[in-house]
Parts: sequence; structure tokens; C-alpha cells
Amino acid sequence: MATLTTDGLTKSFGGLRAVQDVSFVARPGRILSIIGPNGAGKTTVFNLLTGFIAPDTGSVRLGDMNLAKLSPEDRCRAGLARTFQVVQPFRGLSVLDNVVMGAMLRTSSIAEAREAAASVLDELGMSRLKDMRAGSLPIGDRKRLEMAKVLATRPSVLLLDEVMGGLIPIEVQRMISFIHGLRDRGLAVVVIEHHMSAVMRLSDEVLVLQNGQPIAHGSPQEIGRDPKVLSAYLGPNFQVDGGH
Amino acid sequence: MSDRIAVDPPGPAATRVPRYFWPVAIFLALAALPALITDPFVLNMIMMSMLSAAAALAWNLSGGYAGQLSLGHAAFYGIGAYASTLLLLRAGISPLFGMLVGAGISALSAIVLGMITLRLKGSFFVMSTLAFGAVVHIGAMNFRDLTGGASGLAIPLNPSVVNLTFANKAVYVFIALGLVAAYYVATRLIAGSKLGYSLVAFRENHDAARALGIRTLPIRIGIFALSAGMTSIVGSLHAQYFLYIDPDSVMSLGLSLNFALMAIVGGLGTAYGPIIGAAVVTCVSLVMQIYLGNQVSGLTQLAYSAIVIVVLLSLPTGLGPGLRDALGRRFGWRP
Repeated sequence: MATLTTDGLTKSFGGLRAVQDVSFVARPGRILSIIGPNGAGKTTVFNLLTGFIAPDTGSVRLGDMNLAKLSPEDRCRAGLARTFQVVQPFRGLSVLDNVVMGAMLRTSSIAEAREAAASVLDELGMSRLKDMRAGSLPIGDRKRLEMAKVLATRPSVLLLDEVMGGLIPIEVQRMISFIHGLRDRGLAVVVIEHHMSAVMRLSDEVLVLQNGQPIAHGSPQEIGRDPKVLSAYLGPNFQVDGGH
Repeated sequence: MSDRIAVDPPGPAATRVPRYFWPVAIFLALAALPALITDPFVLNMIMMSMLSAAAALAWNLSGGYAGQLSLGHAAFYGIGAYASTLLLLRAGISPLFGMLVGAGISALSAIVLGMITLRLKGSFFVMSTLAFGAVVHIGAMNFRDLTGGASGLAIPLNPSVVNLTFANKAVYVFIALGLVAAYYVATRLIAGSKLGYSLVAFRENHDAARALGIRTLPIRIGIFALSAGMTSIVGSLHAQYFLYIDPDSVMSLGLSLNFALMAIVGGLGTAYGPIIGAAVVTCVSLVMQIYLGNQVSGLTQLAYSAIVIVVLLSLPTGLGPGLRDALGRRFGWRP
């Protein structure tokens, strides 16, 4: 299991500073959440980390490896995997075949990839959906499918972009337990999430972005008390949910 | 795009009969045809269907599975026809070897073309293949010293296996049928492999494929080259069957459009679709030429286009998958 280190990540689009000087370390067995208002640059950070967008300055390292020159596909091969906020299923394929696409990375045999895919679906409680067309799934299941595809690549660092959007409360609770399970297996997990009470229950540490810049970094409790964060994002009336 | 593509489950099908039962049975039945049929028109129709089916299968590997819509494949067909013919006429080299040389040239051209143009998205790639087809066609027209220009090249009738020339036309049908069978098996094997899955992943969603660590560009160039080489071999066989080639008959835009059309009508991204599409399209157009050809001029093309439009509107995933679904619904039987 590897540590993901970013240092001074900066990216402008024309005159807009989308991400400015973002640095953090995602360690194995820890969950780091990135929060911030819409347009704060969270998804851009994921695109920079995974190589879909090249940064203007700043570095991304996985363990000892500098990822600067690697394509998105090679970063995934190295163990850095992501989900997309706007889910990207292979719509015409079955749920199982979607996950096979991820599982193929670690085996050259399609039969083995199908077995691996089936067991990932089982872990996520999606076995009964395996023959359905991915395009016909409701949004909650599509979010879980997005997760299943990525987990099948057996990443060491997992970037989750709003995997709880559109889930009902009981599903959110299950997803939190599931992500805790991944952390306990030793994965480094970085989460972008809007669902605030979920962030507070889920995270070991929280990084807050506003207008592309980090404005706070700490434990969920510290973040919940930070006046800058409260005014920027949470609103003055937010109370830290004591772990329930 | 992807709505037009039926998804052929590449894994083991849940049927009670062995996996290759139906394909083998159908091919054996087809193999009996040339022995039973002596009518030259029907025999020619079967031969044309087989040549088209092989070309459509080759096109489908890149155009159907990878979604790389090429409208320049006639160039590869023509390169195959001219390579084997020129080597035979100028150097006395057997077309059996000449067709491999042609396939090599086609595959190399496809690699060079693919390295430049497969980075282009969607319609830009289509345009670049159109241009490539036009360049090769115009080239063949104008390099008269080599190609004979518009007057074409004739191959003398010296029947022998080494010359791949036979007095009995039924022999060609067996060879073409063998080629279709080989291309069908190749398609099934590729579709069920990691390569096939990776191509489908690219076709369905490029960014999602990359995010799952699938390196798409090398395999896309590779399948484009394989498809080009396979198309080229069909072109060589075309030359040996007709014993005459000219640029319009082996590398016209119309031919490129037909390869694509037959795969689309039959069912993109399936192994059996292009065969069904090629047979239907070829037979319909040949029969209509006979019955409508002497009436109002252009009526054949009009009727032909109408049939294609009706098929595409009523069975958007193609005739093959459409019939398969219909059989499944009506009789609970999915071959």
C-alpha cells in the first residue's frame, strides 16, 4: 500500500485560478475528505491527480514514484484509481461486464476477470444486478457500480468523487461502513463529498477548499469549529454531529 | 453511436447446445451449396455474398467492436487486389504469397494512418479515412505505368492451385467460404478476449476505459491494422475470382460504404451480423439489378436505399440481433 503525496498543485483555466497551491498526503489506512462550495476546485484536483488534466505547477507522487509523465491509464495501473462525479458506466454492457473491464487490469484471463468481478459485486451487495444493462440502473446503483469497477482494478489509493450523491440515508450509512472497511484493509482513500454529516462520520481528516485554495485542514471536529470554514461553507448554524 | 450496437455477450452463452454448434451447422450447410447449385447466376451471388461477408467481418473488427467507423477500407481491398495481381503479372509470384504481401502493405499503411488519425475523435477520424480512400483511388487511376490506370489489369486464365486460378467457379466459393469461417472464428476469439473487451470499453466510454487502466491507443491501431490486412486478403481473392481489376471495382468509395453498410445492417459488433448483412445486401442488390435494372434508371438504387432505411429504422441494432431477439420472444429460442 502506497502513500499519495501532492505538493503545490496549481492549475489555471484562462484567467481563472481553478486550483492554487494544494498540498496534502493521503496515507494508507486513512480517509481524507476534500470539501468546499461548488466550484471550489475539488473535481479539478482529482483530474490533476489522475492525469486527465496536466497541472501548471506542482507534483503528484505515489510512494516514491513521480506520476508527472504518466497517462491516466498508467496511473491506474500504478494503483491510483478514481470514480467520476458524473458516473461513467459502459451503458450498453451488463453490470458484470462493466466490472470485468476493471478486473482485467490484474489478470490476462477473461474467466479469472469474471470471477474477480463477481466477487467485487458480491462485496457491494450487487450480485443480483449482474446481468442488467448498466444504462438501465437507477442512480444509486450506478454510483455503486462506479465504485465496483474501480475496486476491481485493486487500487492502493482510491479517489471517490461524490459516491454518495443521490443515495437514500440507509444507503449512505452502508456506503460509509463499506468505505471504512476499505480503509481498514489498508487503502488510502480520498473522498470528495457534499453530504456534510456523512463527511463528519466518514473522515479521519478534512481539507477545505474555497476558490481553489486550501483554507483549512484538520480533523472533522477541528473543521467543524473553524470559523473560516463555518462562514465559507457550513453556514453559521452548523453543529458537529457527535459521531452518529 | 452505442445505441446502434447490439452487445454480443462475449462470454460463454447460456445455451444447451455446444458453443459452436449453430455456426458449424450453418457453415456445413453453406458448404454443400456449391455442390448442389450449378446455376451460374446463383453461384455468383453466393460468391459475391461470401466476399462481401469476409470484407464486412474484417471491417467490423475495427468499425464495430472498436467503433472506429472507417469509410476508407476499399483502399485496403484495392491494395490487396493490386499487390497480388501485379506480383503475379510482373514477377510470376503466386497470388497465395502475393495476398500476404498485400496484407502486409495494407497493415503497415493502416498503422501509419492510425498513428496519425486515431487520435482524432469521431467524425474527424471518419473524414481522414475518406481522404485516405480517395488518395489511394486517385493514385491507382494516375500511376498508369504500374496499375494500368482506368483500363485496369487482366489476369490470364492459367488454372492451377499455385496461380489460385480455377476454371470451375465453385472452387472459389469453397475458398471464400473458408475465409468467412476463418474470419468468423477470429472475430469470436477476439471478442471473448481481453483485447475484445478493451476495444468495447473504448467504444462505450473512452474516459472510463482510461480510468480503469486500459491503454486504448496501441490496441486501436493494432485492430485497425489487422482489419486492414484481412480486408486486403479479400481483395486479392476478388482479383483472382474476376481475373480483372480496375480502380473503380476494387477501391471505390461505394465499396467502402458497402462494407460499413453491410456490417451496420447485419449488426455492428457481433460476429454473425456482418455475414447476415452481407448476404442480404448482396442478394437484394443483385436480384434487383435483374428485375429493376432495365426499367427506370436509378430505380435499383432507390429501392435498395429504401430497404436499408426500413431495416435501420425498424431494427436499429441490425438484422442479426433483431432476428435473434424476435426468435427469443416468439419461441424462447436464442441460437
